[in-house]
Amino acid sequence: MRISRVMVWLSAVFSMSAVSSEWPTDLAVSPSAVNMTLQPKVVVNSGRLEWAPFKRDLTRWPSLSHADKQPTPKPRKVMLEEPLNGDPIRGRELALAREKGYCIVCHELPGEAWPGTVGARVLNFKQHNYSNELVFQQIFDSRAFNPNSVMPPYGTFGILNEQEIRDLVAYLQSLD
Amino acid sequence: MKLPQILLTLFFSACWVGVAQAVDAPYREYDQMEDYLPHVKGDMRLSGSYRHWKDPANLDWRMAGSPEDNWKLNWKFMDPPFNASVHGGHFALDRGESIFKELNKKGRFAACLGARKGSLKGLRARYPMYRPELKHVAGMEEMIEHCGAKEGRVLQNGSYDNSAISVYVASHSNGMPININVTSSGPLKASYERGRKLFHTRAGRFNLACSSCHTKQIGLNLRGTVVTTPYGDAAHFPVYRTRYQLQSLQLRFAECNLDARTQPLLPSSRAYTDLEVFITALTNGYPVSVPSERD
Amino acid sequence: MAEAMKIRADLSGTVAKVKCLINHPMETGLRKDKAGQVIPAHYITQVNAMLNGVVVLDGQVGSGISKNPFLVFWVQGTKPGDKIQVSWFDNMGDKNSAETQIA
Repeated sequence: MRISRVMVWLSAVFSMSAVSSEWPTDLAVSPSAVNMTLQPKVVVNSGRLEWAPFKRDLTRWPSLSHADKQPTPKPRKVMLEEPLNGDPIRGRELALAREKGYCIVCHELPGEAWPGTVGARVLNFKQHNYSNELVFQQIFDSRAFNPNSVMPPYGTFGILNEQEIRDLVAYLQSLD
Repeated sequence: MKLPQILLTLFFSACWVGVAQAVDAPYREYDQMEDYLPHVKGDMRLSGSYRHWKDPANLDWRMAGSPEDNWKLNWKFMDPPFNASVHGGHFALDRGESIFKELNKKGRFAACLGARKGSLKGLRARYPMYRPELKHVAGMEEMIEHCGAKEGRVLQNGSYDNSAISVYVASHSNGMPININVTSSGPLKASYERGRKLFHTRAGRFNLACSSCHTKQIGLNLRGTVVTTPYGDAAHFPVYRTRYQLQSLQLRFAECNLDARTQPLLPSSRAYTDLEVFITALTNGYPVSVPSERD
Repeated sequence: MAEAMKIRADLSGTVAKVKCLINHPMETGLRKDKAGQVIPAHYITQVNAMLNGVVVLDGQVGSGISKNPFLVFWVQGTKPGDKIQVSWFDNMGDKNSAETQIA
């Protein structure tokens, strides 16, 4: 009986790995690469295309492949528990960090050159008098307000954790 | 011994049913579908920048030199004949010519690519097209890989030699407008429709579709770069770029995907071919111009 | 034998703008390959330009130039039909040249 339980447990592990390795065959991935994801590398005067490991694992999110069965995380409504406890200085660092928020790509922030112009203006953000809860939800998952929003759902997609979003809210609410 | 086996079978079947159900309809989000005209002049309805770049030989020098205005030329000022510079694309052209002539000694290679009576003239302007021998729609680079393999030469889609041959073949169509028919029903139209849907499919770590930026945000800044129109983009590929030496259109898609933090696909994948058909259809009526460069 | 080079000359008035692209690895001799071995220096040391057989440019160049060097220069007192020839020599004794007619 004990053996059978072990076998069932093993089979569970096996079938799970079978599910997770069920990538579509046309993804540029390699299980042996550091982060699974590969990027193409053109070699001059060669008939072969080389692939190098990419700096980030992108297989956790859906791709454009027709065979990709990975679902997009659905919009999520979140409640913010006061007090905010955010650090505005850390928030600014996150807003400018490439691997974190990188808000500057779309939004203009004070004191930083070459801002994007796609996003809404967040200069003098405090004057709008938005509630902390609304700003938190907008960063966590803006699709809750507008299904057509192009702002990435930072919380739902796991790009920023809750404390990091709290820091960002604190930073935005400090812009007057 | 019987019980565990039964349990195992039960467990596996339960797993597969569970997977199959989840597999059927993964949740996806789509941008609002635009109404596209499969011709380059459709840009007049989208961004209106077409009037600045519709004549490739007579672009406005002042606009090309102005950082505020050069996006309105859709980077066409880096295409020949306006750009008379020599660059790495010319080396690729020579390389492509030598490999092509080596492979095409008996004329089989050109015939395999779809040349009429051995002439490459206008061939690039008709691609991507449905290839009966592959039983699906194929881009020029996929056909070069396929036909190269028949002649016993490895020419992987996206590799330098493959793209170099593609540049050489395209150079025979220089100045001829791209002309693929996606309006009458057939495999090409089906591929175009799939590509149009993919263009609006949200994907990746940032939940962005191609259309999230390239329809509504044209002319706006993303940090230091300006978003341009999807119209008229396929005529100069494969293109010489300083970072990539030579980049085919499908490798460009992979780069777009990586920049937007989406898992890239392999060249020749169905999804990229469908996107290539869609993007090429939006270039219908614009002349092929190779070898070109981009930064 | 060195690989092909590209040359183009455009005339405006009596001044010809000559653009020349050389296919060359331009190794400085300071780089190492994956195995840790030093890649031997291999770079162009001299670039010459001749207008109808007369030297108009004599350039001493070194390892500080990038791979596949792109060279642009202007030649005064030219007319359509003049022949311009650019040639280079490197530290390994390799050389190449290309010729074009000014149009």
